[in-house]
Amino acid sequence: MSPETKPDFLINPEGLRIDGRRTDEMRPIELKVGALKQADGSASIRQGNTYILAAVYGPRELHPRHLTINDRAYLRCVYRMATFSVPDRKRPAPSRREREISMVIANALKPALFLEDYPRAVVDVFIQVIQADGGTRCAAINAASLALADAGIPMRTLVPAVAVGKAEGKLLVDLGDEEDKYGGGDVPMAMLGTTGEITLLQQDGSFAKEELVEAMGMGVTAMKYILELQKEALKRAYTKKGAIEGEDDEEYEDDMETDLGEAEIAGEEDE
Amino acid sequence: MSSVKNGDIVVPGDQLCVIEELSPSFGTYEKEGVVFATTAGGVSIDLKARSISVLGPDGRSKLALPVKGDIMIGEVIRAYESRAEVSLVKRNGKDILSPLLGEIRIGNVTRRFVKSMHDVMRAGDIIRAEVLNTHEIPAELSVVGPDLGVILGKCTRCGNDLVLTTHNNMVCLRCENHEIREAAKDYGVMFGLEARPDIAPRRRSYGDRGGEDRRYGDRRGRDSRRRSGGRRNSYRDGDRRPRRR
Repeated sequence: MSPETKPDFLINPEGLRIDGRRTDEMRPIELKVGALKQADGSASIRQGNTYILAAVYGPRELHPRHLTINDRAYLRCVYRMATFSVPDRKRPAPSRREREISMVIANALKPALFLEDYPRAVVDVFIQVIQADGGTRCAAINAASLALADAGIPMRTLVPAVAVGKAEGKLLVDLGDEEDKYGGGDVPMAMLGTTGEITLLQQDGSFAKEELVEAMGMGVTAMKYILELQKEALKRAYTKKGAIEGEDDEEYEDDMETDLGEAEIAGEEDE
Repeated sequence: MSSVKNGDIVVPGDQLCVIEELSPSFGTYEKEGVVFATTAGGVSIDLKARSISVLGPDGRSKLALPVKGDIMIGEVIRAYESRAEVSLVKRNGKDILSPLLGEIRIGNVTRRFVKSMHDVMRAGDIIRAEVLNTHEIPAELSVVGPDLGVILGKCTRCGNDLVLTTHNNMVCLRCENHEIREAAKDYGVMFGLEARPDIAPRRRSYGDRGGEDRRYGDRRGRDSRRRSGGRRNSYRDGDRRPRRR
């Protein structure tokens, strides 16, 4: 594993980002509904190199019983990063960061759900980050809302989420890992698909008022685009229902190979 | 002007129609007079009931909770005088991911009068039951009908599987304990237990003689009182049952 180095610039003289995107361009997003067989509902998201699985179980009985809420279901979100999801091995114990993100995701999803239909029950949402490359909490919300819809849990709407950040004075949509680490700040946000109500808004770094307003504008545009992708993925899952399953698997394998960058590794060994 | 038609695929948040056209049913909700979808699936419009619902690909709700009419299999965890709690593990023949709690009230056991739940099922028994309510925890269950009831009983004395002799009478082959259960038609078939009517005849003939019934009952009663109280009544109930049918 090579130690990470700070890139010389985050935005090159032509105004493009490290991975060649424009400032308002998102990474390619691939959503898949029903990624897991065992869960009541599941979804996976591949956003650039970020790869996340979300699984939903329930509504089911809540144990331990003292956590039950008498007039609605309890939404239990667990966000976890795999030890191999980041360049330095992540220690497997649940960290402070994971606890916070779990809570933030639960709060972002809660307004979209009809939890009052299932008193004293629990809806479990398990989110596992397989590969992290920036924007995991937003990608996790995207996947989790799809998984909830796949489980048939009544929802007001889907919940798209995206992060807008700042690097070298410019606002960037959908930050990658390096932009997140070496940039000037980042604003993750989530909204309810139909009404546009914001359910998640965090900020890291400093933004001027105008910058923040503009960032949110950019974020809303990007979220509307993600919402369409989510709808499409859900509809695809319902129309297809495993008809062309084999084809999909092949596609995935291809992606894995390109992600590993085999050519690059081979080149280094030769030297 | 309903914007959707039967079979359209919708996702949560999609607008379906206004409440004046069709009233919201499964998988939909109404807000300010407009009906929206709450789940992904196909639109199903019932023009007779003037209702609109969103159902999964197989025409059912995709939710992990049982709906009315589902056949569940589960284990009795606790049996009280007038109700029993069941941990449900199979729904319509398929394993469910996390066991659900079900409840049987004594009125939903048979159409006859049942004095105590202990006479028809006990903790540890495996039962097949029908669900009476929709999307609720605990699920209300019924075992009325020949296909429903106990499909494997456990001896209350030693825990061994009970073998069906005749009708609802059971015997434990290990400790020769006699018990009764509200058995389903195919009792034990799923677990490779065959009915053993050959073990029963002696008792049956005693009962059928009529005159001796009284003496027989007393003797058994004394016996069971020594082991555990209250079995006498239940035993005689069980003995009489076949004749009433």
